[in-house]
Amino acid sequence: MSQVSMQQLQEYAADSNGKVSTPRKGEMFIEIDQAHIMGFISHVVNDLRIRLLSTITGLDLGQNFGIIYNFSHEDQKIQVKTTLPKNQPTTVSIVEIVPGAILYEMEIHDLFGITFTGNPWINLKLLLPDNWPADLPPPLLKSSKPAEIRKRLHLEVERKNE
Amino acid sequence: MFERLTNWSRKRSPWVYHINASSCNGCDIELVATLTPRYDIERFGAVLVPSPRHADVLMVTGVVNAQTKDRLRQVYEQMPEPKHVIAIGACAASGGVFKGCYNAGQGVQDVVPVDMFIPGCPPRPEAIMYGVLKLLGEVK
Repeated sequence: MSQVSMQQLQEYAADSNGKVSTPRKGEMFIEIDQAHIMGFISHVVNDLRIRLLSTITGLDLGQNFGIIYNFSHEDQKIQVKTTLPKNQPTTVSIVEIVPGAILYEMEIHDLFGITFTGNPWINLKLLLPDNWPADLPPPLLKSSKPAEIRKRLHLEVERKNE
Repeated sequence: MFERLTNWSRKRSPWVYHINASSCNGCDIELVATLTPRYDIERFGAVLVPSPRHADVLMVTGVVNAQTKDRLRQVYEQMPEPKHVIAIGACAASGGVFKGCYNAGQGVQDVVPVDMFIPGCPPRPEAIMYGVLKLLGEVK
């Protein structure tokens, strides 16, 4: 397999109104609108044959959520970033293209509350405990307080001899 | 007379049960090293048993979180009296590196009474062995 041609990626990104940058040697950072993410990842996986999705990262950007799809190809890293508004945290699942993404999407749903439509397991818990109260905010949001969550889960215990 | 005999046998053959209360497996690997022939805690009579109902000593590794808290309590309540608990590792003692996390407790002693803490991340097999023997010295 050869190196991924920057030019080809740039062409695909231009087709879907994205912009490409290289923060470091061997890294490509591509920002894409949420509406075009499915088509672009389909290009990356099926046409450029970049098959290894290392992980999906979730970000809390204040007003928005960020999702970064980290692809690996030999010694190159390709990061595809998209943002979605916090008041409508729903995006499309890429399970059809990359079946292994199912667990990464469940993890992000657990920790950030982002819903991926099309993921069959999205309502199952992956990381959170079984007795997690449904009305608690997702734990990795900047606005949630770990101490309050621990109190609700009965993990905070008053120590007498301290 | 009979009491002295039971105490003598308890002291020379403590059956241990190991529970991993969401540990990272570091302490568990050291515990396995303690049990296997290199360090061989079996020469002091300590046998790993598969059920808490046969155990005298409960060895807990890992930070106790919301998922494992109730399970640990259940396992502890299944053990027959007299029972002893050894908390192995920094996480079991205080929460370790996970202390302050949304889903981490602050040690095993909030859930079950602990007789002995063995610190370390992970503790050496010698330290675990020393702890078990020291606990046996206290068993009367």
